[in-house]
Amino acid sequence: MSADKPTDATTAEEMAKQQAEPLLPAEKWLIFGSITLGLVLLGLLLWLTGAL
Amino acid sequence: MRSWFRSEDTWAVITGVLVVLLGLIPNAFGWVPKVNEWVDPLASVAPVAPKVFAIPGGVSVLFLFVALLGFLTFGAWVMGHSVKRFAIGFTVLFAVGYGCWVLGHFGYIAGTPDKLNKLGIPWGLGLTGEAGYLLALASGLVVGNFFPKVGEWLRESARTEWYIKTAIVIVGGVYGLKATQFPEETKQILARGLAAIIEAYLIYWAVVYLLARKVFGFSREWAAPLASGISICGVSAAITTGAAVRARPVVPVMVSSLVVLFSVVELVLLPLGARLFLKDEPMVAAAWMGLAVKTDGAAISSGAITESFIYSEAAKEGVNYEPKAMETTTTTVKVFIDLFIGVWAVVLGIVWAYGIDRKPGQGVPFKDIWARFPKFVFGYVILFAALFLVGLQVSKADAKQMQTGLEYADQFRRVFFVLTFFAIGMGANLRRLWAEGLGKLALVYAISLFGFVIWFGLLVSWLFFHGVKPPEAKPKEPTAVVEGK
Repeated sequence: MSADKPTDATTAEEMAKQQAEPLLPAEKWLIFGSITLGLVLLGLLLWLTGAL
Repeated sequence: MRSWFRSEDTWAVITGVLVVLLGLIPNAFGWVPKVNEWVDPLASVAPVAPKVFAIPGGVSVLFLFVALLGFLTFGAWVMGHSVKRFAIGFTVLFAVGYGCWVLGHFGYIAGTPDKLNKLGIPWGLGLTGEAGYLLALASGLVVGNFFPKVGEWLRESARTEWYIKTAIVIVGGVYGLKATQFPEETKQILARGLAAIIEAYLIYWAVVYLLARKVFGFSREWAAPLASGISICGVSAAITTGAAVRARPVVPVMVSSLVVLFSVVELVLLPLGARLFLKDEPMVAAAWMGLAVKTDGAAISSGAITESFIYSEAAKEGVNYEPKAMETTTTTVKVFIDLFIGVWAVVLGIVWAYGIDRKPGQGVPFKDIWARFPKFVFGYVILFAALFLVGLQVSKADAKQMQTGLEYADQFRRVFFVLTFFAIGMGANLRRLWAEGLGKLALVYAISLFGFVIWFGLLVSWLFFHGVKPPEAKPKEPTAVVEGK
């Protein structure tokens, strides 16, 4: 990675012209899949431990 | 020589595995120095096993330096780096880095309220010894920004990736065995630990990542380590998952510096909040510290402080709880979260390789995925699994002996972390970092932590622990009865 490390000037230039990165389908899947799975598993765990 | 053998990933695994395996030999690392919180400089450093190795702290530091210099210079030679420049540079790096680590343990800097009496000082900033990481980062920034020629000259030895990944591999071995260490506590709070994992990885991470990407417009490179830093275990998580998504090294390190700063704020505020509002729910408070306070040191210190607050309140009402019950809960919750950093890094590595860095319309050849995959994670996972299985098979006495050896070996992990912080600070241009929006980074961190993570952590802790009390301490029998026996 370090061999490909851009110079400060290059990076600053890249950051300045950086456009917004839209959420890719893989990211949406990761985000909403995680939250859904997390809430379901938490509920299941609560039920299993009799905490509810 | 094969190219894979000349990569820093490979050498990180070799270095980390070697440290862990040697650590399993009784007292093999008993001479390794450990930095203690200190007021008297002469008491700051001592060998981890002073009864076995009765040597001055300074000598043990010298041994550590020589061992690391020899091995790492050999690795640098294999990887094709300039041996002379690496060796001289590493000497400077180690001297400054370790100096910062020692200074970070100065009582007035590191001392948390529960340790002030022992240190014999009236106050302390409460930064914990992890302040040494901040000092190393700050020193690196000074060198890199005000003495750029020195920084450029030292660059040969500032092998950030190597140091970071080595530390992570060592973590795999240490935590693998530690997972088998608390059988009773582990049984009792297994469900709570699982809840913490679910909460940190599946809910916190996703929400913070979404916030960073959609509301604050961060790139994926920044959002992923940031989400990991806020959600999981702070420094280790940001660095590990940063490597998994192939973020530039400066990204997770800057996130880590925020993690340490914010953990200090949490360390002060959360135990006070628990004292005010959770004095009747000790185990909720204990789990909350493990779930909400980032960095292991700050979380476990918070657990200890909260225990002292709540136990003293309970004692006023004539209730005496078993010492360490709350602190153990905090520690176990935290360790459970730590255990899955490697797993989460693997998950993110796969998602990034298949779903994010994949070029449209093109298949993803295995060779390409393999090239992008952070292979040191395998070192972590394999070492963790191996030590976990071994820990289950061996006797309690053997496991304890192995654990002691690995705690000695864990000192190497701290050294690699501090070298990492110094090296990355040295390579970071402050103006450039400002341009990359560190202020915005702090804002998203603050909003996520204080607006969501803390409160959701409290809710889940309450759901799983409300009404659960620590065991009460057995009352001491009156002297007359003892004599009567």
